[in-house]
Amino acid sequence: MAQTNCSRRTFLKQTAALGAAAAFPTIVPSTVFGQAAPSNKIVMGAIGTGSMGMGDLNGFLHKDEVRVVAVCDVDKRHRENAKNTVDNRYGNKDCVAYHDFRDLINRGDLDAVMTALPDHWHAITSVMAAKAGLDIHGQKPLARSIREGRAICDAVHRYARVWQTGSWQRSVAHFRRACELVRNGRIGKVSYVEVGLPTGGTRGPQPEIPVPDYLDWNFWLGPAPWRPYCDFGGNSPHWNWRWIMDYSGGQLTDWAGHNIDIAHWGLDLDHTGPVEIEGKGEFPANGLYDVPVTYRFRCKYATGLEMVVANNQQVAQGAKWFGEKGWIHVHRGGLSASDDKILKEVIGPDEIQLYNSRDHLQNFLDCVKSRKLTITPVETAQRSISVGLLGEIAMITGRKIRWNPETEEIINDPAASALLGRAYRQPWTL
Amino acid sequence: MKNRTMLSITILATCLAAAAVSADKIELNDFSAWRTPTGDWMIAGDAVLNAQNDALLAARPGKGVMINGPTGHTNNILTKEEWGDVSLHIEFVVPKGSNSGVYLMGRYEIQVFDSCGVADPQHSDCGGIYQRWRNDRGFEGRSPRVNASKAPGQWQTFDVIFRAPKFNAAGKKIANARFVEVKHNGILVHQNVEVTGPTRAATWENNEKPTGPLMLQGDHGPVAYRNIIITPLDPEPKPTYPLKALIVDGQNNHNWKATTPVLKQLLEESGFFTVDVATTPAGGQSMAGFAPDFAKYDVVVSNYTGDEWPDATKAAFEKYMDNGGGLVIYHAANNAFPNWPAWNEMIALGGWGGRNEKYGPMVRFRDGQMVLDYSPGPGGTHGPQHDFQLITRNNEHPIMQGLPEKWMHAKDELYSNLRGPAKNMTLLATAYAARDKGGTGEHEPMLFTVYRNGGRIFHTALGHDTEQLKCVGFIVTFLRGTEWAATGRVTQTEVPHDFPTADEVRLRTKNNADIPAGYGREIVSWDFDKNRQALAAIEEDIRAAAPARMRQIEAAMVKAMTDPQCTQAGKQWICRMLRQIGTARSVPALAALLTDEKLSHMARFALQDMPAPEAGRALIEALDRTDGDLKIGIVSSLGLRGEEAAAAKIAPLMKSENRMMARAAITALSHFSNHETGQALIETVLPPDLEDLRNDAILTCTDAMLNKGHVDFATDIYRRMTAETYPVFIRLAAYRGLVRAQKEKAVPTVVNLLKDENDDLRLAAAKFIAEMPGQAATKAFAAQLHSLPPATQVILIAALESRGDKAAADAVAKAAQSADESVAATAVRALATLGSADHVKLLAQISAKPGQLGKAAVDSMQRLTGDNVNKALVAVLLGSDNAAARVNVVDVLIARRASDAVGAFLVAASDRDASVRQAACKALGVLGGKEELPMLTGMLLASDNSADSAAIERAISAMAPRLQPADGAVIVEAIARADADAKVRLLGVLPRFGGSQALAAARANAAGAGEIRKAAIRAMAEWPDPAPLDDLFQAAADQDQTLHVIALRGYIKLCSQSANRASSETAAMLAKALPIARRADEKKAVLAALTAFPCKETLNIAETCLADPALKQEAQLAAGKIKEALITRQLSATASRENDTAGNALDNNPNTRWTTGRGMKPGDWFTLDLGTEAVVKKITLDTRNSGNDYPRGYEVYTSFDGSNWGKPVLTGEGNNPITELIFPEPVHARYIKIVQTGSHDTWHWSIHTLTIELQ
Repeated sequence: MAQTNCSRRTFLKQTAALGAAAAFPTIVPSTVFGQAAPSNKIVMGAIGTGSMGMGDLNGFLHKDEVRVVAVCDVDKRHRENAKNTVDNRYGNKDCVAYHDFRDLINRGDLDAVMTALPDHWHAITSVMAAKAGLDIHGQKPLARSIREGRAICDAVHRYARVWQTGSWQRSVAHFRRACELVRNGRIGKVSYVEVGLPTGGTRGPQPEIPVPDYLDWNFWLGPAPWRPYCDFGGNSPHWNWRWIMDYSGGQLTDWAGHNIDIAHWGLDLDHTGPVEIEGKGEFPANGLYDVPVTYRFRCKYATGLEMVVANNQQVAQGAKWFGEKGWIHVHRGGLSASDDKILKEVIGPDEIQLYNSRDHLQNFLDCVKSRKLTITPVETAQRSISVGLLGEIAMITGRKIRWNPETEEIINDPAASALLGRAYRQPWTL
Repeated sequence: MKNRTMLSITILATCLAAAAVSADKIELNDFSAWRTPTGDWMIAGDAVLNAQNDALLAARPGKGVMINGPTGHTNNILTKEEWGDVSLHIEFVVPKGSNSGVYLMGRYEIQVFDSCGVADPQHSDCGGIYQRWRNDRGFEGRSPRVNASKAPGQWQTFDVIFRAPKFNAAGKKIANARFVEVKHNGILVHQNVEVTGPTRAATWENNEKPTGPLMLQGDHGPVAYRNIIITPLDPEPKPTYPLKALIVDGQNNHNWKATTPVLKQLLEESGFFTVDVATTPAGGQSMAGFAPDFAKYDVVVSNYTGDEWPDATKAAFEKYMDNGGGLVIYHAANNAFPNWPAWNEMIALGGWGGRNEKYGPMVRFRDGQMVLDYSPGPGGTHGPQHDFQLITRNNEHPIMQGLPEKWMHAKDELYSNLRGPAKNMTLLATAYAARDKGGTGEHEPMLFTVYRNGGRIFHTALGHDTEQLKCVGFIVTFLRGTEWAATGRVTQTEVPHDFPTADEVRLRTKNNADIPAGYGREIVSWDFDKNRQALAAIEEDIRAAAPARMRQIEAAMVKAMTDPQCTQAGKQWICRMLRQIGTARSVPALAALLTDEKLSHMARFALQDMPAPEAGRALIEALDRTDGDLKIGIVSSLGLRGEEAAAAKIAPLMKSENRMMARAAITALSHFSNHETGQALIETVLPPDLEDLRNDAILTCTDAMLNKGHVDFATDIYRRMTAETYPVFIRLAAYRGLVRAQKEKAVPTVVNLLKDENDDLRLAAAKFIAEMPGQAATKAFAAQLHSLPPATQVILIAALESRGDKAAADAVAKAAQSADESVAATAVRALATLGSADHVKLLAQISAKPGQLGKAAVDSMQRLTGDNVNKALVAVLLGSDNAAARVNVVDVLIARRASDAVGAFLVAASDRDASVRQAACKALGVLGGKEELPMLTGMLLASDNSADSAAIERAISAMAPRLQPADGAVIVEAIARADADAKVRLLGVLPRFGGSQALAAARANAAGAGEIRKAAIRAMAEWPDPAPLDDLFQAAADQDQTLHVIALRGYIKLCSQSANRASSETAAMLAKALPIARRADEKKAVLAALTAFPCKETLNIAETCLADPALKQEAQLAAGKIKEALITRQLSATASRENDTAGNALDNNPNTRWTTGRGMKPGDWFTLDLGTEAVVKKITLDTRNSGNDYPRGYEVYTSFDGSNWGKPVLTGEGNNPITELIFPEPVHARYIKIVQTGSHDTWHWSIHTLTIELQ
């Protein structure tokens, strides 16, 4: 049984040391070894095992090449639920449950981690994991601020880690198809694109209540400003932290990593960003939540392209590109176009073929082995969320933001520039 | 510990030495102080006039003198060393007529020239500061005050005191380069002359830097230099803010009593100035007592024009200016003192007061340059006030930095024809005085600077009265100009968001709008469990506030935060706001919170990224007042802020017992990225558990040093950190750094890494190869390919493919022929990306091989890009002797949709190999057209091979949908000549063409017998339109059961085809099929067809069939479907514009609407789909909630199929918010289209609610 917990990393090291398989190619095809061979086991830990975290964890547990050995959450109920799930899957009691993610990262036997935490925790955990030499599947959006996102990119690049963001729409055939049609000029030159994201909500004032004994509230807050415990909605802080600026930017930043991400993919904008951002949001005033409920902002790119991002009462949910010869609209419900003929178009082999992943988590695992870029690499995630975060800054300041996508700096507006990063509550540091 | 000593202090020491200050005198014993190339420059003992030719110099042997070669035409020479602020002594000698120059920082030239005897020296004479050059025009050249030149052949001297341009932390220029003093042969020829950028022929004409080398020009003529002594100067003391300003007023033909308080407020509110006002006695009163102490002030702002000042006051003012004073001339102040010569020189241009041509020229901007206009006439005029546009003429001057090229100024007097000495001006902005606005038709100077002796003058012609002072353009240039006049610097680099644009004036109307007393008091008692209304209101206010109001809000926030009653929640929220709007003014209150356990992190929230330097100082200062977690927080904020001044205090904390503290300190130091912090990170002795973090910090620091250009330093550190004693991930990152630092020089390192026995490093090497930029790197890697073992080759080829650089193509093509299967396959796949037409032949050969390799080659050929790929494929098709390769290229050409290969397919269609022939036919079917049809048809007639015939038939069928029915004539004609087998095949393709001619042929053959009759009827059954309906109905009566089935099914199918006819008609046609159907199956087919035409009649038919037990089940199903369709199909709409919201017109909600989104135009349309056919009497369009948006004119069309519309059934004009479309006779239709025929520039066409009345 010891062999099944032998991580891929350990195995490769051993074989290399023995000189037995020292010459096998770096780009290891997954077929080289049998699916269950120990060398193919990717040993993983899971940080954050609430609703999204359990979704990802279950996905990984069903991959034969993965061995999950550790889970971590500051909510005891989540932690124990995750441990039980893992143990049931493997039929043993071996999964270690951690309270502090630093202990999980520093185990020394992991190949990769998956994280599914509130946005304000993304940077600290991701940077620490990258510095520990781990590959990372991280939930979108990449980070709560643009500077944090850049810090994650830097650490991932520096240590040549494999990164995949949970922007799984890129692994869905009809999204890829839509982007390929746009990329290959099937609607002509595109000068305008609309991105529709869900609409937010509000919640009245909430009294302070005692912290439940299963939750480490101080750790949950971590680097975010302190606040007394209350019910965010649904009797817990989970999930509905999304509507409070200290932890998230609302539907806008939640979905930026999906639909703005797709809009960028269709236009080959994964390595750049807008140059001007201007817009308005309706900020709730009646109680606990403070992220915009409705919002609409316009981004201009250096090429003259314009993107309007708004909640789905103002523009249709999804990404909709308008070209000289028609439009294409894609969302989770499907794909449509100004003319059905466009949708029947064949993309020739000598035209642009986009990265083809049919199974998001599998793509991550394949890349952990091949060391290739995943379908949603870290730089792409940074560029997708930057649009949402710049929109947020434009709406908070109420003025047009000019942006240099090369240097990732706001031009000529030091006060707005102060919103690109955030100070952390002690003792957390990035 | 070993690792640390490897990164010993010696490396760092070398790097640090390079940055150190060097000796004063440049010894001219050799060229060790100079950059290469040194060209013809030579060392000599002396330089004298050439005895034969006094335009040349002769060298005497020895050392200490440098001559630019025998002819005086070689390259310019630059020192290795770079300097900023310096004093320079240099000696030079020129022969007759020669020319050279001394360029401070390689950018700013003092001219060296044989100017001996020139009476009126220009900037191009010896000692001149040479002109700048842009858009083929010169500007800003500065003449020496006097000509101090000696004769050719004599040694001369320059003594220069020079200040380099200054930049703020963001890299913006805050002060121009400045010649404080230039002495030529001991005589002062320039004092306090600024240059706004590099002069002509500088090494760097387009950028300015804090330091640069000394450059001597060597390509303009013979020259020799000696005794070059260059000494760095101590930095100039930074000005003390707030600056002291004095406004002088008391008399003015303008409204000085109102404007002075506004100017004072503008200056004071900026935070940069304190202001006193000196007011003269009224006009005609004695001036004797008017003697302000000018020397107390950094700058004097003149809002004065009136009686002469006492001579002593004038003298004191001149002395103040000569000693480095600053003066701002505001609007009518340039009317003052026409007879005070020094004043006229200071203001450079003035108006009125009897000024005329005797006072000097007018200054104009014509044809891209400033020109002096000496034509006679009075000085000073302006037309009526109007809004006018300023054009920035020098965006490199800090006063103008970041301002738009053009911007509107609020309604003002446009001062024109100003006259004066016009000396030593730098023109910043002009305005065009349009003739139709009573102007001169000239671009008139509006903003400019002047220097005179030691004084700096900023002159703004704008600002007639208080109304004009609200213009943001005036305010910004006035504040910046006043700071510049006071200090020579402009630190107000921010351009406010409300700055005017090229076509929009922007006024600060809220400038004086005080916030109400008690503003923000609610925050003091706000708590986490309250609603946020009061807070949200302030957040909204902040979004809209102009800067002056913002400062008042800030003050109110600080006041609330320092209120002893203020809650923790209130203070938290204020800190959040101060993160957005906080300035130096908030710092003391925030700093006080840094020691507060509960609020320290919120104070840092505001301070960490605050632009004001005070924020950084407050954080540093707080280090001494805190410990534990609070101190950790402050250390990390200082790190993220990049507050390098904190390094000395933070470095010792690395050794803290508190591990979190030590970690924070190490991380903070890594952000400072300079030699000193690098050294501290390397040398401090740390416990083992901090090694990883320290290594990461060193790498972070080194990466930043590399970004700053310290390549050698970074390379050394990286190289040492690749040692095996380091953890593998540190080594990996070090290799990555090495690759970035060394670029293609790192190729051997990376190739070795590919062979490393550590997998992580080998995996990373492939990544590095993919990421390393440049074709040189590609070539270097490619050159290594064939010397590597096969497994390593595979990695390298895949990495070269990721690079995508075609420079690797040939090496990869060679690998594609490797005996090692995995190498060959990887290379073949890579050729798809890296290859071109040149590799088609090779790939085609490989494609003929069995298995994966062959498939990979086909795939690669399909994906190849670039010119001529298709041509190369055709060449293989026609030239290769390998049939499998020929078939493969046909498939590839099909996939590539290579319509230009059709000719080749025709040739290949008679290939000796059957598989090639059939592939070629298939290709013709996919890519061929009308031209190929006769040939294909002919081939079919001639074919004696049924496989060939079938391939040709398929090809024609595939091609036909792209052709016209008339093209079917070829087939019709061929049928007549065809044998039986060919006839059947040709009849089979007829329905793909359709048309009457083809139908006639089908009918004719249907009259025949046997297989031919069957083929003809089958053709009609597949007809694309209902034309053969009757033929099929009759044929269905045939006794032959097969023919009966074919014909009847064809009849039902054709009935069901989309046609512009009412469903009731279709129902009747289908009903006819029921009695002739012989079997239940056929009747069921009729019932199934009925469901596509839901209406009363089809429902009747289906219900009638219920009686037949054999049909009951089908009939029930059909009737159900029809009913469902009739009931559930709903009204829907489409529109020519804003189609997504067309449904808003149908939702019965008057608050939502469909709209054109712009003024209505003829041709806009809105179409209703009734979902089923109906008879409509009336449609009402209601747009009462957008009362003007009714259609000005309309036409209404109807249709059954939504595509054929015919003539309008109704036309009319709208004239009120409710438009009623009443049809003269009720219309029977499924679709109704309303087309706009009117237009309106402003009003959209909208429909809030649409209602329909049916018969």
